[in-house]
Amino acid sequence: MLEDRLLLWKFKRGSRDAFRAIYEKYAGNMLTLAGNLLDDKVGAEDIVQDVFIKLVESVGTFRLTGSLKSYLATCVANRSRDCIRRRIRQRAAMAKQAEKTPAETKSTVHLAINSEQLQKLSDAITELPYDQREAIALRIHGNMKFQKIAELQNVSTKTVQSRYRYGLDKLRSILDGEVKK
Amino acid sequence: MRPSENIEKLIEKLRYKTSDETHDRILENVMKALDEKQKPGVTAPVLRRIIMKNKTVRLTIAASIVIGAFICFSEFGSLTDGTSVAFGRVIAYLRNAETVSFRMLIEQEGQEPQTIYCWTMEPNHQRIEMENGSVVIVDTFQGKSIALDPAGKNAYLMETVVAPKQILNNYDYIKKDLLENVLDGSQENLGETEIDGQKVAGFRVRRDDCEITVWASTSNSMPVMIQSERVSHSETDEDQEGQAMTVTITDIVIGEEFDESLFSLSPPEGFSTIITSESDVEPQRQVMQVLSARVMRKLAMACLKYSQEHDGVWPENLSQAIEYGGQEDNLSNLADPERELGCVYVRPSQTNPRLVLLYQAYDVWPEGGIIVSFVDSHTIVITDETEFKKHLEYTLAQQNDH
Repeated sequence: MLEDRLLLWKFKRGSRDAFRAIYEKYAGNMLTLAGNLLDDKVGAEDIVQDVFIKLVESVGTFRLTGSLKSYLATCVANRSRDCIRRRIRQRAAMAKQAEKTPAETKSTVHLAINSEQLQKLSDAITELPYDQREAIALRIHGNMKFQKIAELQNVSTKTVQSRYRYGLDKLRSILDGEVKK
Repeated sequence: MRPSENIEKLIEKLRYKTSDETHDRILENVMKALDEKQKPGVTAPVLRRIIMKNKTVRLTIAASIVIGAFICFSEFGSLTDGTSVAFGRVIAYLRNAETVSFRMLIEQEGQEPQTIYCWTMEPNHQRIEMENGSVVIVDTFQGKSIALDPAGKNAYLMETVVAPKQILNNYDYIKKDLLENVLDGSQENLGETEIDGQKVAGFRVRRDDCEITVWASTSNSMPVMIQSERVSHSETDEDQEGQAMTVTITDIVIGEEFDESLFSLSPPEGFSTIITSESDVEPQRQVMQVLSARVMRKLAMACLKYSQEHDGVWPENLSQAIEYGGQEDNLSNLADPERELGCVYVRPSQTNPRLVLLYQAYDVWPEGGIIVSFVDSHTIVITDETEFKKHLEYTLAQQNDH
């Protein structure tokens, strides 16, 4: 926390090294978060880039009230939602082309551990309703508290806890073969 | 154990990575944006204005005090009903909440709107950041401040730019006007609305030249937006006399733990240090008066708490009250450290907020007046001896009648 504040402080005063340190510290986490929120991996890379550019652009007005990781995770979540909304609109307009999602094959972003079980889990996550997937990703990969996620999703903390629990239950069921796709 | 049983740990392993080349490309794009952002700005003139006139710094301090007072309002439990006051809770909350941070938009006729960010740590630390990265850090206790100009890499060191008396006067204003207005139910209730998707309830307090509107969350009663509109009566800026000014405070966070490094008065590495004499140097006595007022308020709160927990019976002496808040050290007076007992306790026989509870001990009426706490624990500086005597006579008369 203190380290982040000092890095931001230096960054605000023009230190490129400080910004590089922030990027190196959190880019990997944010990529994982975006990758788990979105269906395509190229989108994840774009989102991480956009979030860090936004941080640079707003550095003069930016003030950290919580943890930097939580702030960046919130930005990733907001952009992922926008991305999904855009994609739904595009799919409605060009249903056939969108089905193919050609960009995915060009992505350099990939799952770091490539076991069969994890691949199955990754596929299962995409089956979840987005709000449940978001609650799980923000909690596990963004280390965000339920209360913060509730603020982001504009619902009560209890609702977020339910979404998280239902999401995990469904994933368990899929992995145990209780839900037939 | 089935493979899915520790599902959270499995999900944690779902990590994505990309090549170093991709990271380098992203960083390069981000750095381009950074270069665009770092084009030369107008830092120096803005900073000079801060240093010369100090208005922004003063405004910020006034604003943080307004927020501090609002903490009381929010603790009433019912924002739309000023009569349902849980005074003990108000006091406890005031005592505990010692930090606040917020964003402030200042709009004044004929001037560009200005946004600043402020961190306040009671009783004496302030950090103010301008949109362009300039920073002012004030320590009223040390009587020093530092202004940082990141564009020119200059650090301006100066004696205190903020008059402690002004801080105290603001506390007076809050206690005497805002609080009493709320307590007597004269505030205007504005009902409920939404700000940034959040349900809020509002009320407005008016004064001769100032109107303060407060919007607070209906779910947790914390302030969401505070707006103050007033006509400027500036002692230092004659050219701004009579101009309307709106100050909007948002992004309010109360009780957050701050890193002390935020309030460091040491120039950062690589900055040239410039000592400036453009300052309003205030005597140390006034700083001490501010701190003494705070200590006395603490003692008054302790007395009030004692009475609340003893069926309205007030402590026989201040030593009895100490265990309900404060320390033995609080019995002396920072403004007059030679005196063993710094204040005089007038044991109340009734709970009437107009009665004097404590007043600063004195032999000869001090030049800057004395600090006085009343039964409801509000604490003010009275500069006029005659006025103080009227308060004391009223108090003694009430005690005798009872």
